[in-house]
Amino acid sequence: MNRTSLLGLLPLIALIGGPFFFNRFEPTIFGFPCLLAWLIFSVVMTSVVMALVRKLDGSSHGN
Amino acid sequence: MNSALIIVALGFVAAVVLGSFAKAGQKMNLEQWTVGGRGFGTILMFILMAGELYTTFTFLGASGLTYSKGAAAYYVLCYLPLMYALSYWLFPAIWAYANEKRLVSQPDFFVAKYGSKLLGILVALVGIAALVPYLVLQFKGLAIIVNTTSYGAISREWAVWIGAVAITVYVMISGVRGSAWTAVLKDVAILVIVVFLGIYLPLHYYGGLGNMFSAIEVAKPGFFELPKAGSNAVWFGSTVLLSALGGCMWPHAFGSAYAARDPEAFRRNAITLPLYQLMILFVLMAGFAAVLQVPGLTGSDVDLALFKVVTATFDPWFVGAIGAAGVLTALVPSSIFLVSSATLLANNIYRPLRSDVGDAATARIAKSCVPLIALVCVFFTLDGSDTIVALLLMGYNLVTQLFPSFIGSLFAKNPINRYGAIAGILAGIGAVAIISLEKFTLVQLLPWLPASLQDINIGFVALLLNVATALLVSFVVNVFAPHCAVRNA
Repeated sequence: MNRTSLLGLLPLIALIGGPFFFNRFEPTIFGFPCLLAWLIFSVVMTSVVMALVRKLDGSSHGN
Repeated sequence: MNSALIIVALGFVAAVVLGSFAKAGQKMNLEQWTVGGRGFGTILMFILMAGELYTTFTFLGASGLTYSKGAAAYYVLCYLPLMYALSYWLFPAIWAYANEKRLVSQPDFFVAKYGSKLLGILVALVGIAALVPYLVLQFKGLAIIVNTTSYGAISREWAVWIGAVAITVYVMISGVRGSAWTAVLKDVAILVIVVFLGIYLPLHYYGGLGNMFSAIEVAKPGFFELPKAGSNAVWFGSTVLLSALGGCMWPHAFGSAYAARDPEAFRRNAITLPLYQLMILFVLMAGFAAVLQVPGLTGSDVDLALFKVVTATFDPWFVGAIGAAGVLTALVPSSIFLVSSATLLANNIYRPLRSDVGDAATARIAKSCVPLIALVCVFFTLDGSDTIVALLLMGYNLVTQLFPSFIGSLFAKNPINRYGAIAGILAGIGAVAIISLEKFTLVQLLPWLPASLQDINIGFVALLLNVATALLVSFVVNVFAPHCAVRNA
């Protein structure tokens, strides 16, 4: 566990904080209700963040 | 006999046959039977991990929740990606320790870390208690499938018994390795079916997703927003957090952290498995399609939403195909849960209480516990009237109580000692039990709580109580009786 682990907070904030800010239907994104669109984006972002964390971990260990 | 039922029955048979073949050539001992001899590679691990987390809950429960509550169902999409992100750090830590100490099950971890046999037994009890509602919901889903694909010919009661017997037979024959191969079959089948339904149903009834959303928004304004009270943003956040923390604490999930050849597999999975969860979107779409097409389902009947819209839309043979995939979604996780709970009972409760029980004897006892546990679950299934989602959350409320003592044990200076661990878990479980049995609401217990926080998930509140108790008791023991807290390594 190191500083790159802090990146892991991003998905947490996006997924749990999302409903406090985006709790509405409009604007629809590709037809999807706003909140759902935000959460989908956050899920994809989780994957991206974890990939980034892995990359950073790898380079810090000199792998 | 109609074609739907025949196809569903074929699905059963295929699963049992696959399960029994997988065993061939493997001598079954305790380690083989529970963690597959520690030889699973990344792809098989992925399948196993994704498979066991995709259950009847995702298929019927999530669609049922979508049908009844709309936006609240988004929580299903959110908690697993968070759990996987967490597993990036947690699973390699578990794996390393488990490998070093040759641990076989979840309670072994706690016993080794805290030096307390009693804690191990408690952890096992919590694991079993949490797995029961999870099993009950699978049995419930199975009964729904058998009942609806038989177009009512097989009653729900009979369906429960038939399903339970099939699951039990399957487990007795194969243990975990059988699950892995049938899990692959199940994952492929359910992926195809769910993607198809998620695309076809909105297209067929509305001409597209956008049209469907608009139509529902007109008929039920606010359906796509979280309500102000009840399943609001506070409920959502606390439920997602509770489930993300608890996800790794399920005995089978925890145990899966022992089973890789290489811990990098977990880190890779933490990247890819969140994306796999997007598949849940297709289930949500199917649930949304059902909202205006099969209206009027209430109470725990909302779990029928998916199959009601399916039987209204397709020919029997296709209903049967979907039913067969659904059967696998119940069968595979059930077998994993039964293996887990039977092993917990035999290896982590019975064995520590008696001395001198060998591996072979324990494996035999575990096997004989399977039908017993299945029977208990059948009675709960026949007796209960909770929705599938309510059942799963019951399980999470319990299993997440293991998280504080778990996470503490990963630190070099653990603020929790074994007395705190035991006290904390008991406090958390006690809170959940009392609140559930007496049906208290947070408002009754904590009337001073501001209105905005009243919808915090009960299990989450119990978790906070757990942490507080654990820290307090540990502190008191350390201060007043420090010799008690010293670990015998």
